[in-house]
Amino acid sequence: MSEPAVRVVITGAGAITPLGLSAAASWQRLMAGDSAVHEWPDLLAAGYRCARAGRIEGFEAEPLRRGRALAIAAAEQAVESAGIGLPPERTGVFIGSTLGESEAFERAAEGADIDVAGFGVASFGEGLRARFGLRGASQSLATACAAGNYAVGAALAALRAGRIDVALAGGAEPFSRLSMVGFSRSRAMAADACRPFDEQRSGMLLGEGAAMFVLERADDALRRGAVPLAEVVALGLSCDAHHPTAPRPDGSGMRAAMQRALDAAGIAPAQVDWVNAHGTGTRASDAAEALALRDLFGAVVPRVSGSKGALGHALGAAAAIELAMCLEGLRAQLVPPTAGHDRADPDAGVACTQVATPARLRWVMNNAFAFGGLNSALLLRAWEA
Amino acid sequence: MEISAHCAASIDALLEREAVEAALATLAPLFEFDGARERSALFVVSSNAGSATAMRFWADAVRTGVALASPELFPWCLANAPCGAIARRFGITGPNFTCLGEANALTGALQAAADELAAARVDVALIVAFEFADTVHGRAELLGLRLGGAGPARCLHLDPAMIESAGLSLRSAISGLGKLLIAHDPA
Repeated sequence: MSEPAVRVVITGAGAITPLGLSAAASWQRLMAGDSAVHEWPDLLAAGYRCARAGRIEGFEAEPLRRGRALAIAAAEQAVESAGIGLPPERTGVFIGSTLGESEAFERAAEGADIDVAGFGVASFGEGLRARFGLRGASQSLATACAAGNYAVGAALAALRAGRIDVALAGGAEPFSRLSMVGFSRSRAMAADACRPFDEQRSGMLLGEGAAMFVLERADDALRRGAVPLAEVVALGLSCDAHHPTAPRPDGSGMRAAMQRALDAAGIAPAQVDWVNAHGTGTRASDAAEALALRDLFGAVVPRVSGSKGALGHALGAAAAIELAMCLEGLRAQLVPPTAGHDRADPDAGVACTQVATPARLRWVMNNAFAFGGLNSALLLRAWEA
Repeated sequence: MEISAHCAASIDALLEREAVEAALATLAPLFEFDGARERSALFVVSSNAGSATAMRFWADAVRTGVALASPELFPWCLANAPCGAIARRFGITGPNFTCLGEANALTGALQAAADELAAARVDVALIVAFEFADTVHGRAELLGLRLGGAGPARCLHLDPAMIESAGLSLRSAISGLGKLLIAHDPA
């Protein structure tokens, strides 16, 4: 079944990532094959088994409000690039994250007098509403590593339903010592580098950051003279209902999410030009995603890339940051290289881009999956009037 | 919107995992409906999911050293763990949402559920508002609602605007809405 005829577009984007303090700067380094992931002396000194991560340098924020500050900085870029004045009553805020302000939870657990109630994911949305003086709808989605896709999907639904005229949507995640320890103790962390779909892959490495977008109905955007960056067409969702942390090994849940996005968009798998894979670099998740891709697309899998080898895994911000990279790719008609992917795992059977690859890009799928068995696939289309 | 089933409970449990396990029996009738599980959406709404376990996990990590932190606790630090656990128990393979906030988050979840149903992306939407124990409240409070999945005879009408009062806490909304639903549907 196809989505309704109300078309929704992204007219502004902003991102703060370990690769750069804007979407364009991050894209340039991604295209150059750089990686922002390295070893951190403070983590080594604190006894972390894995001390490698992608952290943002050159972005100062009050430590207890770093996530909110990242979200606001990314949103300011998005609003500026959209060239829009946000209508206070008719602008919705849709933000995704995992833990909220991890530092606040850590300090409170260490004995600091902090009421953590004001530091959860909802505090990011409250900060955005306060910064821009907004009073429209708001949703805070704690859907872990898929949260950015969920937030954009929620904005899409609210715009199509006519509840709002403009949406600020995206994801934010500050660096989290708690997550470093948790993923390390879950044996999910890589020994050296994150290598999506590579035969030598050994796990993920953490990142941080934020990406935010301005979304509008296409008619409204065109009426005010905006130039859409891309059309958001459909979000496909599913749940594995299988295991707290591991995906279904056969990839059927991931495949279902991708299939639902295609069904909602009314297109065939062969029409997808580029899949930005979730690609965490863990043995299990990449194997399941590869199976899902091969099962859905058959013998001709579209170009596949992954950026967590360059950015680290920014958890609740990852899908949004990677969506920002998808927009850059659509604009440049280029698929970025996959840092860390040197030799495709023959068992997985999915080869990722290793160099920047020019391509005719019309339909792009942004995959994001999460602990709890959450699967999401967001479908974008290059803007066509 | 039409409520086809509902349930409520007050649960004596400090951490999210214990509270969810204790809630499963109460929630079970909500999931007794005909229809494909992949055509069902599950929403968990909370203001504090993950908070208690995150605090416990980090306090333990500081006490034992990070190299010995509990790997079992960590997944429950994530706010979406309760939604994933409920989906696993009842085999719900459709969309799975965790919405954080106070009463406005419940309103948002109801609207999102209505969107899913209206767009025919799902046939049934299950909404579980779950406030976990915290330093002020020693018990978890739960309200479950089902939209769709039953004939109209038992349906109750709910206007989301009535829980949209500015500043209402989710705990208050759970309590007030639970009493209202029971009063109108004593069966």
